Amino acid sequence: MGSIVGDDGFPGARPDGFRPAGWAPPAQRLPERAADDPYLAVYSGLAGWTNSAGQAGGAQLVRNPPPPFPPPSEPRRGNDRPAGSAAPLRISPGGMAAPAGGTGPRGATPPGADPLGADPLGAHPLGAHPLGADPLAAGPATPSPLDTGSFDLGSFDTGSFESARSDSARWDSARWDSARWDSAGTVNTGPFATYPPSTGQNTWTVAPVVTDTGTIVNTGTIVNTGPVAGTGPIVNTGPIAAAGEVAPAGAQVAAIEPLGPATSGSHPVIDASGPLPVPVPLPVSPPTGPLDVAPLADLGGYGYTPIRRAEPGPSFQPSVRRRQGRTPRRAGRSVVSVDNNKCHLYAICQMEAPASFLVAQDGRLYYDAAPPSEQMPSVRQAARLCPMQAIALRTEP
Amino acid sequence: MNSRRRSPDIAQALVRVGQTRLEYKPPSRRVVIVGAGIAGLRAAERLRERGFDGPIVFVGEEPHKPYNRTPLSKAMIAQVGRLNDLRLPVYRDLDAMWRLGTRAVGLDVARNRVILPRGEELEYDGVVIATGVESRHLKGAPIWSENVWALRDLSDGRGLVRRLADNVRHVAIVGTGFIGCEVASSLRKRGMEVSVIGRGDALMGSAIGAKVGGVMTRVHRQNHVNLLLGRNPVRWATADSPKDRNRPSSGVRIWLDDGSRVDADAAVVAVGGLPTTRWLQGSGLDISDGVLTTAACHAVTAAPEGGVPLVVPSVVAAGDVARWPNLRIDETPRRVEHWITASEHGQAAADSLLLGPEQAPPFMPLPRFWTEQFGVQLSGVGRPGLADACRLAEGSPRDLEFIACYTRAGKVIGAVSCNASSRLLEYADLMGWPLEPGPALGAGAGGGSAAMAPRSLAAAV
Repeated sequence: MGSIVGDDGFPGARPDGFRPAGWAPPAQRLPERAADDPYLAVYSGLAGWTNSAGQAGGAQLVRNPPPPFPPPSEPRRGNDRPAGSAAPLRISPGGMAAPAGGTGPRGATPPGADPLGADPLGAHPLGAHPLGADPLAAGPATPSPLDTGSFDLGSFDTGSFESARSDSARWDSARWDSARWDSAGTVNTGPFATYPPSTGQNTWTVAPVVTDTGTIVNTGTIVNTGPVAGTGPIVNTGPIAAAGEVAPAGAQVAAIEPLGPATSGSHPVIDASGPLPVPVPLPVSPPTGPLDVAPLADLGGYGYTPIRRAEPGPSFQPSVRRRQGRTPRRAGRSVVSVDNNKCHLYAICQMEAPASFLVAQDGRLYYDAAPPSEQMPSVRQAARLCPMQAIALRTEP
Repeated sequence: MNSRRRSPDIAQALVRVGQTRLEYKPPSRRVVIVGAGIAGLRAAERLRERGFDGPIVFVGEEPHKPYNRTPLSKAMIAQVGRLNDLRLPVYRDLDAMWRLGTRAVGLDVARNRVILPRGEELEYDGVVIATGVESRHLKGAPIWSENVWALRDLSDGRGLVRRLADNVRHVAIVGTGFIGCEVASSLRKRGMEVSVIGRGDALMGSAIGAKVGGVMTRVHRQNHVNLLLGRNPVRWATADSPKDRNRPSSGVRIWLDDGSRVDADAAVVAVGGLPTTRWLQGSGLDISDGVLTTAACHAVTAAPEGGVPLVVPSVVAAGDVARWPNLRIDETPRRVEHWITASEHGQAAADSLLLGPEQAPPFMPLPRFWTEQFGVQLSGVGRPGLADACRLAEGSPRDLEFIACYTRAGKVIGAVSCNASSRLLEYADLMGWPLEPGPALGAGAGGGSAAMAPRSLAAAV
């Protein structure tokens, strides 16, 4: 039985904003590092889009190019961490807290990666991930920004929900990760880089930004009517409806510079006169914030919560003695199927196996047709307890 | 030479080892499961899952292996679906002995024996009591008549279906519990006229409270169920009654305590169940309203005069027949007649039998139940029947899509959803937590709580 963690930290948030009376949000993790960590934008997937205060969200007209990574002048070592700061803790799916950048099934942190930056949960300007623990930080498999290959989506790739909406649902949770940049400044060509095929008109509102010097940069709406090339810069053929004065790019960078990293002043500011790489704009239909997890929240989001209440099961060790008689054969892969004519959406299966069943708010049941073997006990229990007995398990030989 | 001389010794040693292995027979333990229902089935399945390799013997009164009883009042009466839908999935090879059609007549706790008919005795090392409940008899109801039926098992369902096929137009249902309401819905679906006679003022009021029960009462009334609430049957007469002057020419005639009379072609008595513990009389176990067990499913003996009750490690009880304290709610032992809970209870009882009273964890399930009447899906968690307050948590009863939250002493004890089952999961997490802000919580809310005020929590149903 999982629940969505709201953007104010409330476990069990609902789209209508229900909160029990008297509930107070926990202390927010403020992005203290936003001002002094130049790599923050890179890690959080918002490279190039910070406002003048060094924070994400709001207006995003001021382009802040990501610094080359690592800086050519001063190679940044992997254990280069400010003195006195402990390694950030990351909640692993098993519920144990493991220091980021540790060893894991993928081995140690890649040599170029920053242990501070390998924590997208902590480094995100919003503080906690709106889905609770970051599903992409499920293991130490967080790709470093140097990874220009396709991104490993971790647990998202293992399951296959049997629905046409599954792709979009998976994509929505991973979209902010897909917009990462590599050192060359090009949008990485991961599996989601060109999604969605932006052929229509993209409109998004830009809130006014007051730069450090006090100039209003832009108040208006950018209407983008042209197609957006997936891997290249935006081809903007439409007019930019701007009420304010648009500062030239060079001036923006000059305005940014005093806000630059305090601890790493050695980074050279990129000459912004050249063509700055522009990330693929994402259609933000309801403005829910830079992470835009609204589609997943609409779906319910259950089952992706990696932290589960420990079940009070007995610590019983079955006897190792084998039963006499027939030889138990090694079971094959199990295939789950749900009879849509029987299923009445009582959501008992979701209570029993939240990792494999999801009764979404669109009134449909999404399920994992080939659950991993470690989920099979809970899937079997879901099939046992299904009120309509609609879940059938079949074992492939 | 040495090796040649040593080799026969080694061979003899190996032979000795083999002989010892053959002679050594691990103590074969036998588990008898009395009651071939869902709880017993899940207990056997869990025993095999845990590696238990001894014989398992089922003693069941019905001539069937365990089947799903929940469609009897719904799909079977409404005549949708097939008999094959009553199958239950089992994911282990049970390798059990089935003594079906056999009613256990006694339990000898001291000698570890289940007494079967004709003097047969079945020795056990562990016994699972899962005999469930049988229909409660309503005093005065001619349940022997072919026009009056109770609905508990497959033979009842088949008989009732056969009777309904015989040109039955009007059915009287006595009892407003889940079974009675589901039967009413199923019969209305078949176009029959249905009268429901009940003591309370709301349908299913004892289980889900008067407010949600009132909503369901409205649903039944809108679907043209003749509701005769607040009345009790005082006299019955059926067409096959011997020497009754007022007996009807066909069907059944019921007089109520307000003077009215209901003439129907058939009647269904659905007034709850009583635990099947008659066979345990004389066993020494505490069988007042079900088999009293510990929180970990082990049976407890009745306390003798001036003595203390004892826990019997070899006897566990599961399912509807067991009365146990669900520590998730409180420490009062109660019976729970939910199908899902019975399944989980059987599994927990099997674990407890293997672990023993010292190590077995308490069985604290979240009670879950569901029903569907006239296309309205009710599903619930917790024990709404124990609540002292009921609040509309979200949705609107007018639209028949809402969730009601039940509290006892200010803490959430259950929730019932109407056509919103998937939203119920969040309320399951609130079990045991206060719905109202306590003084400590309210003081620490600060300024941020204004935007998060609950929406229409105080609205009445």
